[in-house]
Amino acid sequence: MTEPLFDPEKNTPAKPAPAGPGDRRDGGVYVYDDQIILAVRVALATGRPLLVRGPSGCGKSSLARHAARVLRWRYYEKVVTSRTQAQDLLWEVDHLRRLQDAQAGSLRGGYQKYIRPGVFWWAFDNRGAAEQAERSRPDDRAGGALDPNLGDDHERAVVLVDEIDKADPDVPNNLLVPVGSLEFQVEETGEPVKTTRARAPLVVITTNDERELPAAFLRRCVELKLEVPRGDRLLKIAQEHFPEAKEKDLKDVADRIEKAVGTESAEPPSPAELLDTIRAVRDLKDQGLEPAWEDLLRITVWKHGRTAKTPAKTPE
Amino acid sequence: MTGLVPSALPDLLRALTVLRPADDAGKAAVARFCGIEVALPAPSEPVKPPPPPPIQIDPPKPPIVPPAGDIRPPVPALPEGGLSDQVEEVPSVLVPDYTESRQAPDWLETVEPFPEADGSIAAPVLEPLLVPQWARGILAASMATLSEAGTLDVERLVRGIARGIPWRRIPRRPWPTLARGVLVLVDRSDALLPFAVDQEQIVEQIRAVVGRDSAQVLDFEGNPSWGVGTGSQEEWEEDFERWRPPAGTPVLALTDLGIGTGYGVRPVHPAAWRAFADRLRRAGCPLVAFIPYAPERWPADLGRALHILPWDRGTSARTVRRALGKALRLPGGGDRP
Repeated sequence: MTEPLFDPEKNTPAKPAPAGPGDRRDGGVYVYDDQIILAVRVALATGRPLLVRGPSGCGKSSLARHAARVLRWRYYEKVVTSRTQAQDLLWEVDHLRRLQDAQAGSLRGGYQKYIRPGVFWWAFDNRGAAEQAERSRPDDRAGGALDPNLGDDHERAVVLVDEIDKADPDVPNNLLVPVGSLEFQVEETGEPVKTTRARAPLVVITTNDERELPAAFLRRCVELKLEVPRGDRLLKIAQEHFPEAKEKDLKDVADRIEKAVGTESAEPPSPAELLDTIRAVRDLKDQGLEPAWEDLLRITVWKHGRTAKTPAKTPE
Repeated sequence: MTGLVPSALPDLLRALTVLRPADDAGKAAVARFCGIEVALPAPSEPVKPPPPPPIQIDPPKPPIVPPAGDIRPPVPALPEGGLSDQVEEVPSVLVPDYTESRQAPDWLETVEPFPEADGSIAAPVLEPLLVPQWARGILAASMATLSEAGTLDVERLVRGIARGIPWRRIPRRPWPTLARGVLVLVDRSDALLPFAVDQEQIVEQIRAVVGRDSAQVLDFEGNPSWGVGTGSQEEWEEDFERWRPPAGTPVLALTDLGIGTGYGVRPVHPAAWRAFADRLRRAGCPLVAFIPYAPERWPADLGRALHILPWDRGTSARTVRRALGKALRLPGGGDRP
């Protein structure tokens, strides 16, 4: 089995349209460093999930989408909530519709009509998942795409399980078997879903470290800790997102934010906060307005929750 | 080579075969991602490992100097038949004020306090009260409440349909969850001083298990009804209502329920804890207490008002499940449709 070499420099994907406000989740832009590239390569080589740690806004989730674009693979994502169970990532059963059909006297067959494939089913076997999704498609929703793939058309896929620390403690461990053995069985129908090592997905799991993850789970992951980028790397991220902007304008905003937060800050500014500020400055200038820096930085950077070891002084 | 786990070596071999790093530094970097730390020979002078961080210990409180003479206040007599279980709040007239319950011994006036620590001797590492490998499971089991997030409850569904009851939502089997978060109450009474470090350790473990944003931690002394809060005691509020969590949130108390005594410790009558547990029960919040003393010393009958768990090396997740069942049931059936 030959794994593709993950090389973002040689396989740079075409840039999509400029992103609108908010977090960019289309994987259009990503600034790598050697550690990130090596971590993805090791995860691909070992077939282990890549667990990405780091504070919010430092590029954990967008790494998965961009990696899928570099590899030209399919891409699926599932954002975990406190109610998410491991099975939701494999398959879901529409019990309510089944009950409605039973009460209407139109219940025929078993569960097949009520089972929706989850992200791992799509990643393991997209043809089988498509057949199942077609079987469970409601009658009033004929037509339209069923495959939630957000990436290219490829036999392999990248799966993002976002913010796994939001789930109950059992969820990570319950995912170990399907992700490790590359197969699971749908309980209601007994249908096996599996893939081969040669077609195994790259699984990217993110955590904000809000909750400790089980040791058994950690042992089976390749771990990458992303630090909040600062200095030149932060500027490079801004340049990639705003290629039309002048470097000195971007540097001006980055410097003002760094000075406002202070070098001693316990929470340095995240790329997401820098990009928000740049976007705000750009829009104000487009309207012929000059930003009132103190007010602007209070809104974009000095939000509730940020603490500083030394009180920062906003630049004039 | 350190920290080797069984799956790490095959992973490393696979990664090295595929990636073929050019030098030792590259191999070490790949090994690190596989969970294996490889010490490379230093290029010049050996690097000294950083010294371990000093253990922070709160400075000792100044010794309490008792006033001269008998300091006991007059104690009103208890009513015949003792305190009623039915009282909602314990009226102050029924609770003797034992603030200074003993006369100070003579030797206390002459004894010299220990010299201040100069930091030259590091305190030994304290073994946690719960077995570290089990702590996560114990805490998860003791804070989990039941929610209707489990598999379909076919029996209940069929029973309802057979009776012609229209279902507004699909009945599911109860499933333990930590999604409701937790309110942690830490008893800062002097009687708990020997367990102060244990309290800090377990609070950190609780935050790690339930999530930092989902765990609210408040201090109290003796009984939460007397005042709770964060920061210095002067800022605590006597009105617990302000801090009362939403219905369904479990409350975990790290306390001795008044078992520990000592000079200057305000005794806590079990009735005060019973009243507090009743108050939480009416608010829909189950109360669990971790007690660092043997069950033989637990106040009799309090086990009917709140869940008491031993805070000791012998405690396991099974101990907790035996005491609480699959998870905490919410008072008033808040976890049932």
